Amino acid sequence: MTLFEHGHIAWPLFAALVYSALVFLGADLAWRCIRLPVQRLAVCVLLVWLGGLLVIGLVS
Amino acid sequence: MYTLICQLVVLTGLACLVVAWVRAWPYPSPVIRRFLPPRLRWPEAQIRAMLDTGRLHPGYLAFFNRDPVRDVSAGEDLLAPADGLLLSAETAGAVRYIVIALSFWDVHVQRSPLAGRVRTIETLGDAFRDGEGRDFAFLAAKHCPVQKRIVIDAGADEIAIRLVTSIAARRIEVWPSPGDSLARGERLGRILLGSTVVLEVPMHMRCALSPGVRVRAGETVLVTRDRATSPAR
Repeated sequence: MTLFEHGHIAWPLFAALVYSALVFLGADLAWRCIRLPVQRLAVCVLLVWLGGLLVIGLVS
Repeated sequence: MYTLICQLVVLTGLACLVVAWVRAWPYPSPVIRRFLPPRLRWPEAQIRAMLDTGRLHPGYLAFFNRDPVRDVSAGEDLLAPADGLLLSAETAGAVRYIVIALSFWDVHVQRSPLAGRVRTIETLGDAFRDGEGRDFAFLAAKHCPVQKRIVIDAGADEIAIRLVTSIAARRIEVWPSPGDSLARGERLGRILLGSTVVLEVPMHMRCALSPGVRVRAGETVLVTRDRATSPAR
């Protein structure tokens, strides 16, 4: 996977960074609002994040 | 080049959000605060920490000082003078003391329960700490309360509203003056970081709600008049 292409950050990498930051902030919101056991909530957040990365990888 | 600049701008913005999140930890970051309900937006631990340091967050102050419009219904029954949790309805002598406890998240603007004229406004400050009123549970549990007692003359009935705060906060604003007329549900004053409002009514008025119920100033009917024993106007 290339980090740069055509003089800018490669789109898959850029998408993964933006997506990860948004998931990070969204996870904080979910963590405070959703009443679930901590382990279940952590697994859910992790699955959502990994699923998103997989989609980015497949699309690009 | 233009694409790279756009990407860097977006990534820098996101990095700023993450930094804000880290700085606010363990409390909610400014980014998600607006999406949270009040109790999660301003956790009690954070409020207590702010009170300890004396540095109140401007966002919390704005939230605390909110003064929403209330839909005051018509009628003769008495409305709740404050937002909060109905704690008790004690009786002593010929007076019924209805106690409302305010939390950090309640609106702190008090309203008149009924139409009338302000007779007196008493300030019961530090000298009150060991004096009259200590017998009541709502004062016994408090450390050196500072109070304003507003007596309202409503024709045949006379009621009083006590705004109680601790000696740490000790700031109570009362907006009307003695002799002023008040409409039902009109704004009376504000307790700044305060705690308790007590409504004193004659015995022929009955508390319409049970302790444990949340009430809203100017909207919730708190006291009903017992017309059979009410003095004639």
